Amino acid sequence: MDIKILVVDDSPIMRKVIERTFNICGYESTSIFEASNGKEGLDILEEHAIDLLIVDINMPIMDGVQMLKEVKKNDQTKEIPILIISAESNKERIEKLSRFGAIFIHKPFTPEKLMAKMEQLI
Amino acid sequence: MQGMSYKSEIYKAAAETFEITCFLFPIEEEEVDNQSKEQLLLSNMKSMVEFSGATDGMVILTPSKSLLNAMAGNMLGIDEPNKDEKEEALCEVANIISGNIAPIFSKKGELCYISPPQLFSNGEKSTKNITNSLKETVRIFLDEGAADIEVHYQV
Repeated sequence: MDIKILVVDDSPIMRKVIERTFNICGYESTSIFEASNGKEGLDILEEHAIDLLIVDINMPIMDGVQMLKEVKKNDQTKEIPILIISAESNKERIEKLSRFGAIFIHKPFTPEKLMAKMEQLI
Repeated sequence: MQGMSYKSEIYKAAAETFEITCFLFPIEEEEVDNQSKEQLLLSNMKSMVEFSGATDGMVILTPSKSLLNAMAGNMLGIDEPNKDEKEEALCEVANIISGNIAPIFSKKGELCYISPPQLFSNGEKSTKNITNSLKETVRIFLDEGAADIEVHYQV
Protein backbone atom coordinates (compact mmCIF):
# COMPACT_ATOMS: atom_id res chain seq x y z
CA MET A 1 0.00 0.00 0.00
CA ASP A 2 1.46 3.35 -1.02
CA ILE A 3 0.43 5.83 1.63
CA LYS A 4 1.70 9.16 2.89
CA ILE A 5 2.07 9.46 6.64
CA LEU A 6 2.97 12.54 8.64
CA VAL A 7 4.64 11.85 12.00
CA VAL A 8 4.63 14.83 14.37
CA ASP A 9 6.75 14.22 17.47
CA ASP A 10 9.45 16.32 19.16
CA SER A 11 11.48 13.18 19.86
CA PRO A 12 13.71 12.45 16.84
CA ILE A 13 14.24 8.86 17.96
CA MET A 14 10.50 8.22 18.25
CA ARG A 15 10.00 9.49 14.68
CA LYS A 16 12.71 7.06 13.55
CA VAL A 17 11.16 4.21 15.56
CA ILE A 18 7.76 4.79 13.94
CA GLU A 19 9.31 4.91 10.46
CA ARG A 20 11.28 1.72 11.20
CA THR A 21 8.12 0.00 12.44
CA PHE A 22 6.36 0.69 9.13
CA ASN A 23 9.36 -0.63 7.17
CA ILE A 24 9.65 -3.80 9.30
CA CYS A 25 5.92 -4.45 8.99
CA GLY A 26 6.00 -4.45 5.19
CA TYR A 27 5.08 -0.85 4.41
CA GLU A 28 8.41 -0.06 2.70
CA SER A 29 6.71 1.98 0.00
CA THR A 30 5.06 4.24 2.56
CA SER A 31 6.25 7.85 2.42
CA ILE A 32 6.93 9.19 5.89
CA PHE A 33 7.03 12.95 6.44
CA GLU A 34 8.40 14.23 9.76
CA ALA A 35 7.75 17.29 11.88
CA SER A 36 9.03 18.12 15.36
CA ASN A 37 6.04 20.24 16.45
CA GLY A 38 2.49 21.11 15.45
CA LYS A 39 3.45 24.22 13.52
CA GLU A 40 5.90 22.34 11.30
CA GLY A 41 3.26 19.65 10.89
CA LEU A 42 0.66 22.16 9.64
CA ASP A 43 3.18 23.49 7.11
CA ILE A 44 3.70 19.98 5.72
CA LEU A 45 -0.07 19.40 5.56
CA GLU A 46 -0.39 22.48 3.35
CA GLU A 47 2.09 21.08 0.85
CA HIS A 48 1.29 17.34 0.77
CA ALA A 49 -1.82 15.19 0.54
CA ILE A 50 -1.35 13.17 3.74
CA ASP A 51 -3.31 9.92 4.28
CA LEU A 52 -2.60 9.45 8.00
CA LEU A 53 -1.51 11.80 10.75
CA ILE A 54 0.43 10.42 13.74
CA VAL A 55 0.74 13.02 16.49
CA ASP A 56 2.31 13.30 19.93
CA ILE A 57 0.59 15.50 22.53
CA ASN A 58 3.32 17.24 24.49
CA MET A 59 5.53 19.20 22.12
CA PRO A 60 7.16 22.65 22.21
CA ILE A 61 6.05 25.62 20.01
CA MET A 62 2.69 24.04 19.14
CA ASP A 63 1.43 20.95 20.95
CA GLY A 64 -0.67 18.14 19.52
CA VAL A 65 -3.98 19.49 20.85
CA GLN A 66 -3.50 22.90 19.24
CA MET A 67 -2.40 21.30 16.00
CA LEU A 68 -5.45 19.02 15.85
CA LYS A 69 -7.78 21.98 16.45
CA GLU A 70 -6.25 23.64 13.36
CA VAL A 71 -6.46 20.41 11.36
CA LYS A 72 -10.16 20.03 12.16
CA LYS A 73 -10.91 23.68 11.25
CA ASN A 74 -9.48 23.29 7.77
CA ASP A 75 -11.68 21.72 5.05
CA GLN A 76 -8.57 20.40 3.30
CA THR A 77 -7.36 18.43 6.32
CA LYS A 78 -10.36 17.75 8.58
CA GLU A 79 -11.01 14.27 7.15
CA ILE A 80 -7.44 12.97 7.61
CA PRO A 81 -7.42 9.97 10.00
CA ILE A 82 -5.51 10.70 13.21
CA LEU A 83 -3.50 8.48 15.54
CA ILE A 84 -2.32 10.06 18.77
CA ILE A 85 0.71 8.37 20.32
CA SER A 86 1.60 9.61 23.77
CA ALA A 87 2.74 8.61 27.24
CA GLU A 88 -0.22 10.62 28.58
CA SER A 89 -2.09 8.56 31.17
CA ASN A 90 -4.83 10.89 32.29
CA LYS A 91 -8.17 9.43 31.22
CA GLU A 92 -9.97 12.79 31.20
CA ARG A 93 -7.41 14.31 28.85
CA ILE A 94 -7.47 11.24 26.59
CA GLU A 95 -11.27 11.43 26.40
CA LYS A 96 -11.04 15.08 25.36
CA LEU A 97 -8.62 14.13 22.61
CA SER A 98 -10.92 11.42 21.32
CA ARG A 99 -13.38 14.22 20.42
CA PHE A 100 -11.09 14.92 17.48
CA GLY A 101 -12.12 11.52 16.15
CA ALA A 102 -8.62 10.29 16.83
CA ILE A 103 -7.50 6.86 17.98
CA PHE A 104 -5.20 6.93 21.00
CA ILE A 105 -2.14 4.69 21.45
CA HIS A 106 -0.50 4.75 24.82
CA LYS A 107 3.31 4.55 25.05
CA PRO A 108 4.95 2.10 25.30
CA PHE A 109 3.39 0.49 22.25
CA THR A 110 4.21 -2.64 20.28
CA PRO A 111 4.65 -2.65 16.48
CA GLU A 112 1.60 -4.96 16.29
CA LYS A 113 -0.56 -2.45 18.12
CA LEU A 114 0.55 0.43 15.89
CA MET A 115 -0.17 -1.60 12.75
CA ALA A 116 -3.58 -2.75 14.01
CA LYS A 117 -4.69 0.78 14.86
CA MET A 118 -3.33 2.14 11.58
CA GLU A 119 -5.20 -0.51 9.58
CA GLN A 120 -8.38 0.41 11.47
CA LEU A 121 -8.05 3.93 10.11
CA ILE A 122 -6.98 3.53 6.48
CA MET B 1 -0.52 3.59 48.11
CA GLN B 2 2.80 3.86 49.96
CA GLY B 3 6.37 2.51 50.21
CA MET B 4 6.64 -0.90 48.61
CA SER B 5 3.53 -0.34 46.49
CA TYR B 6 5.08 2.76 44.93
CA LYS B 7 8.29 0.84 44.30
CA SER B 8 6.45 -2.01 42.63
CA GLU B 9 4.45 0.41 40.42
CA ILE B 10 7.65 2.22 39.42
CA TYR B 11 9.35 -1.10 38.64
CA LYS B 12 6.37 -2.26 36.60
CA ALA B 13 6.28 0.93 34.51
CA ALA B 14 10.03 0.79 33.88
CA ALA B 15 10.07 -2.93 33.04
CA GLU B 16 7.22 -2.56 30.55
CA THR B 17 8.85 0.47 28.91
CA PHE B 18 12.25 -1.20 28.50
CA GLU B 19 10.70 -4.42 27.24
CA ILE B 20 8.32 -2.92 24.68
CA THR B 21 10.30 0.12 23.56
CA CYS B 22 13.88 -1.18 23.70
CA PHE B 23 13.47 -4.99 23.58
CA LEU B 24 15.39 -5.25 26.86
CA PHE B 25 14.12 -7.81 29.32
CA PRO B 26 14.10 -7.64 33.12
CA ILE B 27 16.16 -10.20 35.03
CA GLU B 28 16.70 -10.86 38.73
CA GLU B 29 19.79 -9.41 40.39
CA GLU B 30 21.00 -12.98 41.12
CA GLU B 31 21.05 -13.68 37.37
CA VAL B 32 23.78 -11.08 36.83
CA ASP B 33 27.02 -13.09 36.70
CA ASN B 34 30.47 -11.79 37.65
CA GLN B 35 31.47 -11.31 34.02
CA SER B 36 28.53 -9.01 33.51
CA LYS B 37 29.13 -6.88 36.61
CA GLU B 38 30.80 -4.14 34.55
CA GLN B 39 27.52 -3.80 32.65
CA LEU B 40 26.14 -2.34 35.86
CA LEU B 41 28.48 0.67 36.01
CA LEU B 42 26.21 3.69 35.84
CA SER B 43 26.57 6.15 33.01
CA ASN B 44 27.44 9.78 33.55
CA MET B 45 24.33 10.70 31.59
CA LYS B 46 20.91 11.10 33.22
CA SER B 47 17.53 12.29 32.05
CA MET B 48 15.07 14.13 34.24
CA VAL B 49 11.36 14.66 33.66
CA GLU B 50 9.40 16.99 35.91
CA PHE B 51 5.73 16.61 36.60
CA SER B 52 3.33 19.13 38.09
CA GLY B 53 -0.35 19.80 38.55
CA ALA B 54 -2.01 17.25 40.78
CA THR B 55 1.34 16.74 42.46
CA ASP B 56 4.85 18.14 42.03
CA GLY B 57 7.72 15.82 41.39
CA MET B 58 10.35 14.52 39.04
CA VAL B 59 11.71 11.29 37.67
CA ILE B 60 15.45 10.82 37.12
CA LEU B 61 16.59 7.91 34.97
CA THR B 62 20.25 6.83 35.15
CA PRO B 63 21.17 3.86 32.96
CA SER B 64 24.40 1.87 33.07
CA LYS B 65 26.82 2.58 30.22
CA SER B 66 26.08 -0.71 28.47
CA LEU B 67 22.34 -0.26 28.85
CA LEU B 68 22.46 3.21 27.31
CA ASN B 69 24.13 1.74 24.24
CA ALA B 70 21.62 -1.11 24.04
CA MET B 71 18.61 1.22 24.49
CA ALA B 72 19.51 3.36 21.48
CA GLY B 73 20.84 0.45 19.42
CA ASN B 74 17.73 -1.67 19.89
CA MET B 75 15.31 1.19 19.29
CA LEU B 76 17.01 2.06 16.00
CA GLY B 77 18.12 -1.42 14.97
CA ILE B 78 21.79 -0.44 14.79
CA ASP B 79 24.98 -1.71 16.50
CA GLU B 80 26.80 1.48 17.33
CA PRO B 81 24.53 4.41 18.14
CA ASN B 82 26.17 7.82 18.31
CA LYS B 83 26.03 10.23 21.26
CA ASP B 84 22.96 12.08 19.95
CA GLU B 85 21.06 8.84 19.43
CA LYS B 86 21.93 7.67 22.96
CA GLU B 87 20.72 10.98 24.40
CA GLU B 88 17.50 10.85 22.38
CA ALA B 89 16.84 7.28 23.51
CA LEU B 90 17.48 8.13 27.16
CA CYS B 91 15.13 11.12 27.02
CA GLU B 92 12.35 9.19 25.26
CA VAL B 93 12.52 6.26 27.69
CA ALA B 94 12.51 8.67 30.66
CA ASN B 95 9.51 10.44 29.12
CA ILE B 96 7.54 7.20 28.70
CA ILE B 97 8.37 5.94 32.20
CA SER B 98 7.35 9.31 33.67
CA GLY B 99 4.07 9.36 31.77
CA ASN B 100 3.22 6.02 33.32
CA ILE B 101 4.49 6.86 36.81
CA ALA B 102 3.17 10.39 37.42
CA PRO B 103 -0.52 9.43 37.68
CA ILE B 104 0.34 7.04 40.53
CA PHE B 105 1.19 10.06 42.67
CA SER B 106 -1.69 12.29 41.63
CA LYS B 107 -4.87 12.61 43.59
CA LYS B 108 -7.98 11.11 42.08
CA GLY B 109 -9.32 12.98 39.08
CA GLU B 110 -6.63 15.65 39.02
CA LEU B 111 -4.45 16.26 35.99
CA CYS B 112 -0.72 15.72 36.03
CA TYR B 113 1.41 17.55 33.47
CA ILE B 114 4.68 16.11 32.25
CA SER B 115 7.48 18.46 31.15
CA PRO B 116 9.85 17.67 28.27
CA PRO B 117 12.81 15.51 29.35
CA GLN B 118 16.10 17.23 30.18
CA LEU B 119 19.59 15.77 30.09
CA PHE B 120 22.13 16.33 32.79
CA SER B 121 25.31 14.66 33.93
CA ASN B 122 26.82 13.71 37.27
CA GLY B 123 27.75 16.77 39.27
CA GLU B 124 25.07 18.97 37.69
CA LYS B 125 22.13 19.87 39.89
CA SER B 126 18.62 19.27 38.67
CA THR B 127 16.54 22.45 38.39
CA LYS B 128 13.54 21.40 40.40
CA ASN B 129 13.50 22.08 44.10
CA ILE B 130 10.53 20.39 45.74
CA THR B 131 9.86 21.18 49.34
CA ASN B 132 8.67 18.40 51.64
CA SER B 133 9.38 15.84 48.96
CA LEU B 134 9.81 12.13 49.41
CA LYS B 135 12.00 9.91 47.27
CA GLU B 136 11.68 6.36 45.99
CA THR B 137 14.61 4.72 44.20
CA VAL B 138 14.20 1.56 42.16
CA ARG B 139 16.98 -0.36 40.44
CA ILE B 140 16.02 -2.52 37.51
CA PHE B 141 18.31 -5.25 36.14
CA LEU B 142 17.96 -6.01 32.44
CA ASP B 143 19.65 -8.45 30.10
CA GLU B 144 22.08 -5.76 28.90
CA GLY B 145 22.67 -3.66 31.99
CA ALA B 146 20.81 -1.88 34.75
CA ALA B 147 19.13 1.44 35.48
CA ASP B 148 18.23 3.49 38.53
CA ILE B 149 14.88 5.24 38.57
CA GLU B 150 14.61 7.95 41.20
CA VAL B 151 11.21 9.47 41.81
CA HIS B 152 10.81 12.61 43.93
CA TYR B 153 7.24 13.46 44.84
CA GLN B 154 5.38 15.78 47.12
CA VAL B 155 3.09 14.55 49.85
